[in-house]
Amino acid sequence: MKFLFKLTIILACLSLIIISCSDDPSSIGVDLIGSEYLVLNNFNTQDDSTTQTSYYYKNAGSLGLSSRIFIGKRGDLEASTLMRFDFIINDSLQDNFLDDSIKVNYAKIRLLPNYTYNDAAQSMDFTVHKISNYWTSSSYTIDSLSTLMYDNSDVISNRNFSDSLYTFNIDNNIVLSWIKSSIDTNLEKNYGVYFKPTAGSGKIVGFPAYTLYDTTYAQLTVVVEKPGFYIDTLSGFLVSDVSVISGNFPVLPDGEIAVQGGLAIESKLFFNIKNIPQNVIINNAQLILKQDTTNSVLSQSGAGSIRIFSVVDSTTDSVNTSNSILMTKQDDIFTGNITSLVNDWVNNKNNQGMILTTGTQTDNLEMIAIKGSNFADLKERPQIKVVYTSKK
Amino acid sequence: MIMKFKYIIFFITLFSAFVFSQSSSTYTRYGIGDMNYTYSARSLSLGKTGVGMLNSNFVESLNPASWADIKLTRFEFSLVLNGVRLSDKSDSRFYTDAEFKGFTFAFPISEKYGIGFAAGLIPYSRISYEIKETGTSVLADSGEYSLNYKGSGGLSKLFMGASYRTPFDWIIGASAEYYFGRRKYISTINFSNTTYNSGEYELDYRSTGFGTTVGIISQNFSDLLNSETISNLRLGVSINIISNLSTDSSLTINPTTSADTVVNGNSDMKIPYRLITGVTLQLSNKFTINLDYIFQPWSNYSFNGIKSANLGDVSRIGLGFEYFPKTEISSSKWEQIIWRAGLSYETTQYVINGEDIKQYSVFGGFSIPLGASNTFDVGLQYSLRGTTDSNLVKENFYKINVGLSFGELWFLRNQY
Repeated sequence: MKFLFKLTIILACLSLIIISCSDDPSSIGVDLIGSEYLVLNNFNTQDDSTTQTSYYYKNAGSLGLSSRIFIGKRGDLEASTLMRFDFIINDSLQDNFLDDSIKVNYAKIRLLPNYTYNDAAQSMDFTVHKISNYWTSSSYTIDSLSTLMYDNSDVISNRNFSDSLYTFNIDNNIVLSWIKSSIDTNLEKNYGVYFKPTAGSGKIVGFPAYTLYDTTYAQLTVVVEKPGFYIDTLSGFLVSDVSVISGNFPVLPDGEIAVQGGLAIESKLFFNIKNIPQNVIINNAQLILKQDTTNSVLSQSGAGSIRIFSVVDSTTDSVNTSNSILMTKQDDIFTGNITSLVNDWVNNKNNQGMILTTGTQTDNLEMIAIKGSNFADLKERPQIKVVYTSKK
Repeated sequence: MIMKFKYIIFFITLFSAFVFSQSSSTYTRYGIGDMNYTYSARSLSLGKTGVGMLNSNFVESLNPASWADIKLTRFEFSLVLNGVRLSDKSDSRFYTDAEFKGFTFAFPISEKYGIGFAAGLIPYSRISYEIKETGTSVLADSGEYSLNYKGSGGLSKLFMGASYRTPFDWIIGASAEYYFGRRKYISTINFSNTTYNSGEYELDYRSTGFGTTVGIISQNFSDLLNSETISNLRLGVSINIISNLSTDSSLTINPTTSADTVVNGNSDMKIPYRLITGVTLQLSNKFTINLDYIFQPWSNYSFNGIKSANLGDVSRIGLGFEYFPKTEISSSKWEQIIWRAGLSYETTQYVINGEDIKQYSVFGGFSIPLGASNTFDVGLQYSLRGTTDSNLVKENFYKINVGLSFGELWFLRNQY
C-alpha cells in the first residue's frame, strides 16, 4: 500500500506540472464556433428608415415635492407661493399671549434667493395675503389655485429686496393670531399667507423650499414685548410651502417639441425599432436630441437639462420613475444613455415610448425647445444609435 | 478492504482537485462532443478494443458479455490527463486538463453459468473548448472588445447489468443504462469602454433518458484452426441503443444590468445506436490480439427533430495487443508487468465545411501488479485529428490514463 501512496503522490506532482503548462485561450478554432459566434451590429434610426413620433403636452402633477419655491412674473408665466408658519410657545407664556399682555413689536420674514428666471436685471415685487381656507402642499396642483380664498389686502411692509436677500415685515396682528392659534386650536385657524407677484414684475425668483436637511428656507423672526417686563425674540418655523406656476401652453414652430419645468410641459417620443431583432445583447444605446436655442428660454445660470423616463403604460403615459436618465449637453445637442430602455424595448417587446421632462421638473422653469420627429431637416430629428451583439 | 476504500477516496480526492482547467477542442462544439468508447487505462492502451475479450481481472464496458469470467469482486476507477496541441495556419497552442473517467464495480454470481454482475458510472461524451478573440470595433466608440466562447459538459452513463453463459459457451450480456448530463455553451463579449454593456449568451441543455447495451461473445473457435499457438479465438458483438433523451433547454442573456432567461423548452435528442464488432485471439497464452470495428451513424442524430449538417457516421477500426509475460507467483513484480499497445483509424462524427474529420491514434500502456489480483494501470494515447486546411484545426492529442483495479473475494458461502 505504501508503494501505491508513493505512486499517487508522484502522479499528482506530474499532473500538476502538466496542467500548469496550459496556454491561455486563443482564437484557434473560432471559425468552427458556428451558431455560437457573436456578431457586433450597429443600428441608427437615421440609417434604417425608422419611423418615429413625438408631441408635447402639459402634465398637471403634484407641486409639493419641489425643493424650490418661486415668486414673480416673466412674460405670460406667473409664479405664486403659499406658506404657513407655526410656533411652539413656552407654557409659562401662553396665558400672556392669550390675554394680550404680550404684544408683537414686529415680525420679519427672510428669503434667500437661489434662482432667477430669466433676466436678473429685471425687477420683481409681490404682495402677501392672508389665506382663509385650508390647503396642503402634498396634494397641491395647478388647478388648486382657483379654489384658494385669501384677503385682498397686502400684509407686508418695509420691503428690502436685493439679489441675495429678500426681507420684509409682516403684519403684527396676523402673526399674533398665528401664535394664539398655536396655543389654542379653538381660535382662528392659521392657513398661512399667499405670495402674489405684482403686475410690474419682469422675472421670477426662486428660493429654497422647506426641507429637513437645510436651513436656508424662509425664516420668520418675531420680536415680542411684555410692557414693563421684557422684550424677547421668537422664531416661527415653516411647516408648509408650495409654488404654483401658471402660464400659457408654449407655441413652437412646426416640428418642434418642448419640455418646461414648473408648467410641467413634457414631450413623448416613440421610435419603432422593430429592425433590431429580439434576443440580442444591447451593448449601448444613445438618444440624441437637437435643441432649438432660439425658442428655448433658460434660467439665468442654467444650461438646461433633460430627463428621460420609460413609459410603462402608454394608455395613461405612466412612467417608471425609479429609472430615469439625465441627458448630458454639449453645445446644442443633448445625449442620453438609454441602453437599459432599449434592452427592455427589444428583448421584452415592451416599447411604449419615452417621456422627456426637464432635468428637475419642479425646481426650475426653463423651457427647452427640441427639434422633433416632424422637423423638416431629417438629420436634426431625434436619433437613436444602438450597438448590439447577436448570435450568428 | 477498508484500507483500499480509504486509498480510493484519497486518490479520487487528490486528482479531482486537478479537474479545473479546460482543454480545447472546438470540434466538440458539435453534437454531444467527443465519444468515450472506454473508460479504463487498460482499454485505452489496447486501442479502445476488446469487444470479444473475456476478462477475469478487469471490468470492460464495451461488451456486457465480457463479465462472464469475473472471478472476484472488483472495483476499478481511472483518471485521465489530457493534453492537446491545437494548430491552425497561423498559430499553435497547448492545453491541458484532467478528467475523472468513472468507476465500475463487478462481482461473480455463478462461475458455472458465467453470471457476472457489473455496475458503474462512466462518461459517454465530453464537450470541452474555450476560445478567446479580441477585436476593435469600427462601430461608434466602443473601442477594443473581446469575445470568449466556452463549451463544457457532456453525457454520463449509470449502468448495471449481467452476463450469462449459454450451454454452447456462447455468452450473452446486457446492461440497463441511465443517461444524464448537462451541456453548456457560453458566448461572452466584453468591452474596454465601460459605457458599453458587456454580456453573454448561455445556452444550457440538460438531458436524461434510458438505454441499453446488449452483447454477445462467441464460443472459442480456436479448435477449428487446429493450431497449438492459437489458444482462444472469439468473436464479439455489442450494440448500444439509447432512447430519445428528454432535454430541457434554456437560453439566458446576461447583460450587465440584469439576467433574463428568454427561451425555455423541452426537446427530444436522438442519439444513434453504436455497433461494435470484433475478434480476439490469444497466442501462446502470452499474447492477446484484438481487432474491433465501431460504427455509429451520427448522421441520424437529431435535436428537436433537426439533424446536424456537421455530423456524419463514425467508422473506427482499432487493433490492440497485450503481452502477459509471466503469470507464475514466483515471478518478480517487474516480470509480471502486462504490456499493451494499439492502433486505430477513425472517421469521426465531425463533418466541418464538407470535410470528414479523421483521427489517427497510437496507444501504449502497462499494468503493474499490486498483489495477487490488483493492478495499477497506465494507458497512453497519441492522436492526430483534423487538418489546418479549409480553415480547420489540427489537434495533436496526448492522454495519460491512470487507473486502479482491485480484486477481493467476497460473498463466500458458509459451508457449515
